[in-house]
Amino acid sequence: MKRKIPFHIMTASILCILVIVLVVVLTMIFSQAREAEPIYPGKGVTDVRMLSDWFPKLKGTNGDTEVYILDSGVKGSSMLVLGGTHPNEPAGVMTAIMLIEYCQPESGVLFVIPRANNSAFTCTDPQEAAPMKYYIDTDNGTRWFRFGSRATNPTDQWPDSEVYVHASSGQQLSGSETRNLNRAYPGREDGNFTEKIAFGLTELIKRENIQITVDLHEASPEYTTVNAIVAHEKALDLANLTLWMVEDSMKITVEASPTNLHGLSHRELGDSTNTLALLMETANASQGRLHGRMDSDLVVTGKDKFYTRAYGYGALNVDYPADGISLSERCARHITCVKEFCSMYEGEAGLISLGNLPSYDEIIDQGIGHFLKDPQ
Amino acid sequence: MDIELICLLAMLGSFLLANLLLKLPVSISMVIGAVAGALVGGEGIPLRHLFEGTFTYVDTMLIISSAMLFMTVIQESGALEALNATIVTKLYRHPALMLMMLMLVIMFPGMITGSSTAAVLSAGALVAPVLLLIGIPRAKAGAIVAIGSIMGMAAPPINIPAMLIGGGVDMPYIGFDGPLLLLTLPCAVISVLLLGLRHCRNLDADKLAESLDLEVGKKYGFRLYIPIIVLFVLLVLSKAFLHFPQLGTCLIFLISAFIGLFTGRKFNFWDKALKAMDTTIPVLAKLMGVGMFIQIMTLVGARGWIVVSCLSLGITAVYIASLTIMPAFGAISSYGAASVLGVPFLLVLIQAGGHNDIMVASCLSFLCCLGDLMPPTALAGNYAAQIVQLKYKFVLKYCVVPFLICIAIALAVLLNSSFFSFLTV
Amino acid sequence: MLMYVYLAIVAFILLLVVVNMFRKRKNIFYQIDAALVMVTLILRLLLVK
Repeated sequence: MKRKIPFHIMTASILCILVIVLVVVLTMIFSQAREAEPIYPGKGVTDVRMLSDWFPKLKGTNGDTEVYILDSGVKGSSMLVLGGTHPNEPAGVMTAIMLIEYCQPESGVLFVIPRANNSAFTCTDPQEAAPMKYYIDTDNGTRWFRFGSRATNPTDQWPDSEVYVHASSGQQLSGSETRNLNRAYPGREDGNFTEKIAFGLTELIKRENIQITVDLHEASPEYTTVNAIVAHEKALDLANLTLWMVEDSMKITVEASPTNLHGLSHRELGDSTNTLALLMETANASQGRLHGRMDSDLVVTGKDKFYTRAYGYGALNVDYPADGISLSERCARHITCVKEFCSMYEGEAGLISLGNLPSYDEIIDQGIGHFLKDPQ
Repeated sequence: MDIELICLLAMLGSFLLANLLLKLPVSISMVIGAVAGALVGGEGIPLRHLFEGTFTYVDTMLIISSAMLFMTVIQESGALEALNATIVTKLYRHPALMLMMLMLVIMFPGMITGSSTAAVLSAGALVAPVLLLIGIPRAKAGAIVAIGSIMGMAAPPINIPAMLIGGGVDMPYIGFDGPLLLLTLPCAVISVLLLGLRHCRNLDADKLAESLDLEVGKKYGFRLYIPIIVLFVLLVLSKAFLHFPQLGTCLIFLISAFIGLFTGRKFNFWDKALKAMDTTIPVLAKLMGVGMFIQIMTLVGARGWIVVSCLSLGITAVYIASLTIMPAFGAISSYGAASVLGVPFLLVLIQAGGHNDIMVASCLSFLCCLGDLMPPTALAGNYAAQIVQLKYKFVLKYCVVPFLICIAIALAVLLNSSFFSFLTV
Repeated sequence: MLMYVYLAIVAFILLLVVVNMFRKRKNIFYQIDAALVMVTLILRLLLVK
């Protein structure tokens, strides 16, 4: 005798099959985020090491990341440039990549980490609707770059505690900050995954005796600290000298690192190492709350009618023209200041010169893509 | 007309059409709204975006599920009945004090977890039968539980919307305790007395004794309360001592539930757990729908349109929007209201000057929390209605006056934020 | 370590959802609700997202 399958079992089975199909498709889509964009080291790169060389506990984890070393061979000071602390702030990443592919230091040593929080490049933030990639035109065709999350991928560190307590200060922040690399400094050897990455970076700075550390960021245009250099008190003189040199070409301010806000690179690296800790912010519409359609174009061109309107209402802290604030312009700000930090620095170990980097105007006129290396 | 506005209208229109006309559940209507928005915005059906949006609520889903399992254990083991009997027999002579104590009990899990749902499902479900016992009508009892859980969510030490708003402007979560108590305690006391006191002025001890089950308490004694005590102790320890292992609310609920299996009446855990999840699945699905809806709003620019439109109206309008649109946004998500509207509103109010930043952030977070009463999602309201076995619209009717009182208190504090700045120390 | 405990919790809740989906009679909307929840829970359980 034939037994009839109840209707609700049939529908449940069909839905289960649908769920499996969805899971397979979504796994394929989300896994794409684990592929990193290719970086083509330029003539200036003398060595590529991993962060685990300074902190072996990171080896084999998603927190390990490439450290590009550009050693001029001429005695001088050393500088570390961090891009990708927050992979949803692409000007930091692109500036670091441009330094790797274009820069040829003439004295001193330059360390560049383009993906400081490598894990955060492997996902995007829920409800931010970010693109997984953005595209930049170069002289040799279009190249893609990874857009990531502000925080470590939860598949590497989960669950978040309800309240994030910064270990050395006891400061309390929202639980979502538990995975924010720029709230984890100076890091802990036996801390959580993100604290370990921060610890690795701090170790690198200590062991290599890095004289200047520049952490490249972006902020939403409505944020209070934007188009700014934030400097630890030890680095304030250097920041002010730089400001003096660059203020003809751009509007920029210098802010002292607040002493009561802990876990940030400009506070903790300055306190716990000998480095001069600086952090830079440019205005990035794609990470704000006011932007319109979210896509690669918004990331690259920065053109957004809502931000332009909000500027008209006086709701922003930066000028926001109808043409937007492009990624090239944001990178130009970063590159120009990094170059000036070097030229203004007079350390005991000697000078550091980054060589013939393009000027602020050249980067804006020709676009950041022009200064990326030809893969061929 | 901006294309972003057209997308928003398409999303809201198809959501309302599906929910009100086709009578589809809120969850599925939200998904339909999200898909409609994506289609109008020229994004096709972006599977990645739809499901990425749901991940905001993974932790919330686990907390709700584990809280439901805990509540089931407490009910089945007999602890709930015993606790009700104890509260009523000890405090029935002082109705006002009893009501305030009960309100505090409802608020407590919300204060510790920052979740109104956790408060409704745990303490709310414990207290609701007591409220009914002392003669408060079902709808009003539901309203007391709903308001209490929201006051708990907003009250210190944990207020997640305040943390989200603070995180958006790099404001550490310090100095919020005083302002949040100033906002929540008066609202809680006024609400519970307004709704309940009239009904329990003259309680008859004999009548109460008849409807209470005093046997289970006598049979198992103190050990019945062990899971509740364990829950309380673990929640407090993990918040009070920074070096205590951070187990998370979800695991604490489950540990307490596990202990509850051995401290009272025996029952079939698997059957009861299935039943608990049975009522939870639609709520979890609603969160999934909300996640998809917000992600698509962001993708097509509708989120930006809402925020910029609010900002375009000037400082007075920002006050009005804080008091109206921000709680109304809770119809989608109160956490969403905090991060989408709370951060830009705070920046505008700070820029306007004359305010205390922490006081303003506290007021905004409090207003966001009120959003958990807003239908159709109304997380706190719907669960409270479910506990008193009524439809939410009957409970909502009695939430209106306390809701308006809360708004009025928030406005008063917001306008006088500088005066109250001594509380932020 | 805590991550594995939480993954076990996810697996347990997923199991309760699946069993309920097959148990509840004649309510397709309820089953769709369960399916929505399942997708997110499975993706977290597999550490995809």
